[in-house]
Amino acid sequence: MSELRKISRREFMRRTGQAGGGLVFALTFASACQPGEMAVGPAAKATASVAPNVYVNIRNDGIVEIYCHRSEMGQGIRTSLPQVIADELEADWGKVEVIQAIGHEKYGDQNTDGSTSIRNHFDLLRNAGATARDMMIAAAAAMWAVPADECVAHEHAVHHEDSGKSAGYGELVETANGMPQPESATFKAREDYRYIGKPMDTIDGLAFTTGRAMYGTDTVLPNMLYASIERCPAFGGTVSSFDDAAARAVAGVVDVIRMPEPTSPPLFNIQGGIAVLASNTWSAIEGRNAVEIQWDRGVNAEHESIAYKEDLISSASTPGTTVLARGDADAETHSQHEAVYYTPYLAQAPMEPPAATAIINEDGSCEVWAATQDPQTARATVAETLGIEKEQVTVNVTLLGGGFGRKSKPDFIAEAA
Amino acid sequence: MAIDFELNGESVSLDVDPAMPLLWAIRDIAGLTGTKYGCGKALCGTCTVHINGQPMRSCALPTSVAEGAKVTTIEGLTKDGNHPVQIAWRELNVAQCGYCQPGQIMSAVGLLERIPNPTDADIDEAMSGNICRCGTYTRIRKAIHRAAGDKS
Ligand code: FES
Ligand code: FES
Repeated sequence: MSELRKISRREFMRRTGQAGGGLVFALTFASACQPGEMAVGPAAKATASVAPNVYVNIRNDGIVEIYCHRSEMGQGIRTSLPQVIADELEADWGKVEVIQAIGHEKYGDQNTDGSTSIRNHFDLLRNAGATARDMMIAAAAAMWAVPADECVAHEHAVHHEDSGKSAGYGELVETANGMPQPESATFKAREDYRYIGKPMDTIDGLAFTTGRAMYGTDTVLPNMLYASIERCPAFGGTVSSFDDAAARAVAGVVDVIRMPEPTSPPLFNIQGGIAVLASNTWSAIEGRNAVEIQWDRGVNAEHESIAYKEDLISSASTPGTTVLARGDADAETHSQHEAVYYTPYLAQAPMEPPAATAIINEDGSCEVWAATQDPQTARATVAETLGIEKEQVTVNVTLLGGGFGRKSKPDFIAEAA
Repeated sequence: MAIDFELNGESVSLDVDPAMPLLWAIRDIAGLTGTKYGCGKALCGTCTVHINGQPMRSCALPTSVAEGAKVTTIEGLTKDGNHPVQIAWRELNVAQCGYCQPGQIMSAVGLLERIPNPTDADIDEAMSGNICRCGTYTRIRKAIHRAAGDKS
């Protein structure tokens, strides 16, 4: 990590602080590098493999790689999604490796927001497993020159009862390789499920209990810098002037930059402020505390919760527009209850602040590692922010230390880039 | 100025500002990212490490306090991840997102070293500084009992 090579790439990493809009992030000058232990691509252990679809890759060492295209934030999707695929595939759980998918439309909807990963993708996942299983059966049938419907898949292998032949999935990879990818297959009967609906240990148990689990805050690239952004206390405000002399005097501080102004409405856009870049997080925080900033507090300068609450209550008690009327509510109602329900502004407050690391390569392409619930939107937003094509952006999804919807917005990822 | 201490059984000499919180020295300088940052204000417990066997909030302690001490992080608790607390955590699938768990585990190990057979009240008291946003508290309590040898 410490060797310094040709200065050719920029890297960023950043984290927001919780209160006061404090934010830590990073940027670096380094050469080509790969973060260790990120497990974001296929491992190079086997010499050949076959991918019946984008979610499954069967290696000739018998390992089935399952690509989890939804983000893990504590709901257990890195276990439950592979459970569905592995069940239909008749795979042995012990021979399954879960790989976190990058943000790419080939996986379909990846926006992990709204508690619908299994609900909306159940058939898609079953199909991914079932078509892969049928591909294994077709390969075995071709290898043994027997009809496919005489072969059954069970426990990570295909069996032909009449001849007593069996072949493990790994052994079938070579034959399966030039074969057409099946599009549809019949699903297993519910009573035959081995994994679906059964309690399973979380796939990341060892990583979670040994500190090896990698979150958005944990990406380390050689020579990367860390950054912390001071925000306007009023949301949507801008910097009118700032003095960074004291910040630059803090040991470890490398640069102080004014972030692009936020555009309105905020939506998925970056939020502006003054970023302090340093060789470590502490220097970035100390530097940020030392920047003197005059703010133009903007449209929300006077906004405060109590007045806003009153606004909401008064607008809720103004008679509304009738959208649908059925029957005569007044005549048919015997008693009436009145109540006012109020929910204040809520902070999602994930334990892990939003965090992303970015590197801009010499060819202008960008790779990010981020705790994101929505990697495809992150990809598009980073591309737009940098003025490059989406195809030039790779978004690697780390584990999320909680998401709660906050990490479905890619502002912090675009800021890192 | 270099600060010398023992980190997970190895002597280290970290050239850092002595005022830098130990958390950042461990994460950014020593490169051990298992210890997490949650609040930076000694409020959430996710940054808990052991200093001479005592669970401490590393975000709120200057690195200088580590001088000459033995510091243990989640990575140094065991080589293979088989401390009874780690095993109990896996058996009961305690973690959800997992982010708070390195701190929870370090606090739990500290508790069991002090009180080998803690009551629910002992657990609640010792663990009250460790926030879990996913709400895994009941499993944490169960896993501590399990690690203490109580199979219930
Ligand atoms: S990060 Fe140290 S207690 Fe929260
Ligand atoms: S497991 Fe998510 S914060 Fe505790």
